[in-house]
Amino acid sequence: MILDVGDVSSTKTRRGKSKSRAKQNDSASHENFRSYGVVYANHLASQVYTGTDSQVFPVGSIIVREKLSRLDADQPDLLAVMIKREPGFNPAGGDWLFLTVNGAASKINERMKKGACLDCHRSARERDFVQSK
Amino acid sequence: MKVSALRILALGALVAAIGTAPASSSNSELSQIAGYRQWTRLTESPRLVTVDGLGG
Repeated sequence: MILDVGDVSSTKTRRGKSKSRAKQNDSASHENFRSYGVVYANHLASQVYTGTDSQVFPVGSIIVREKLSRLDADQPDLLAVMIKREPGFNPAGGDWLFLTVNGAASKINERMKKGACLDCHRSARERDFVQSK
Repeated sequence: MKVSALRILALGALVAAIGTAPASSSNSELSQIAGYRQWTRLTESPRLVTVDGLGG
């Protein structure tokens, strides 16, 4: 199976920093670290994400990004979650609730309407704050 | 005396409600994402990303 690992040159140049960044990542999703991400979407979200019509996600849409420290890791270290809430919940953030959850999906680390998550996703405001394919 | 007791009870109920609200909300959200690996996988394979490049 061929795995997409991005630009090889960038991987090599940053190799020396990856360990220190991994340590910083122990407690914070806000820290800039390298990881391997797999993205899942529930039925409501996947219909919009994979469709060609309006890029507006309905209430109840959920997108989960796993953050794997290694390509062959069975369980993610962390989950980054977006949940589409009711209109007015978070107008500045497209009514999305941003969560960081532990890898076992048993404990919510942070629950945010803004902050680092929104700061990044704001660049995708035209796509209802969801990064493109 | 009775009024004070009622006030204490009301205050206790309010504190209890405030204390349990976040927990119940968390349980609800966790239950929503339970089994997420059975959902539609948007990325064909794990991609090397940074936090500020979640769309990559």
